[in-house]
Amino acid sequence: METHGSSGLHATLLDNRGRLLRFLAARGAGSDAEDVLHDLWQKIAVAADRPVADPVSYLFRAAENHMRDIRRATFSREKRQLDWHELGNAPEDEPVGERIFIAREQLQHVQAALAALGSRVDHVFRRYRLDGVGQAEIASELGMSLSSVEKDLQKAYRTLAELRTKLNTE
Amino acid sequence: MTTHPSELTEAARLWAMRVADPSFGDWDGLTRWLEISPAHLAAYEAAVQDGEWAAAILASEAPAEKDPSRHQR
Repeated sequence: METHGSSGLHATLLDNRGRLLRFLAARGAGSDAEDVLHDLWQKIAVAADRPVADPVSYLFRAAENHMRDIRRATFSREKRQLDWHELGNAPEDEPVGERIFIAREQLQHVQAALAALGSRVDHVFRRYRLDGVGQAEIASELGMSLSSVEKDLQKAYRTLAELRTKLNTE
Repeated sequence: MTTHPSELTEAARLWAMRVADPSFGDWDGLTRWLEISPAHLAAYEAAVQDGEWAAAILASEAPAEKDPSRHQR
């Protein structure tokens, strides 16, 4: 099912247009899903010269990443406006040394939280999130079942989410 | 409809986690889950951000720190 270049991808997009539009609408694009898909295609068409192993997954992944980009852009625009209204309280106004200190401290918290879950959970989370290795591959690397890998990841995700909430409210 | 908030958080986290797998393929399943309620999208985005937050912080580790099993801390 490998596809070469943007013409093959475009054919896949047309074949899966309904599914992609429905995904984009549910993923936050709402009634703008058609426009978002159009923008997304402009972005893909420029970049897609390499062969794509699984074109359907590739398009959905691109759609997911595109929605994340849109959300990030909206968030930083809103934040800039907020900072404008609350002059002096913006994190950007903190001295660089202070920001490095906070980043260093957050890293230590994350490292400690993962270490507390045990070296296997720590390793599984790092393989998954930092090295981009899939759950099935991690399972075979470590001789674990897929469901044990997923449970380890769930533990790490839950703990880190709780840590983030705690650090934000301190 | 009446999902308990913590159940929603857990479900959203599971989706965010699975989507992070390079071989994730259940996009239609994610679509159907998101369509159930707008609260699902908000919970999903929060879970995605939690994961990205942790990964970005860990990515800033100095090379010497990257294998904690080899270092006494």
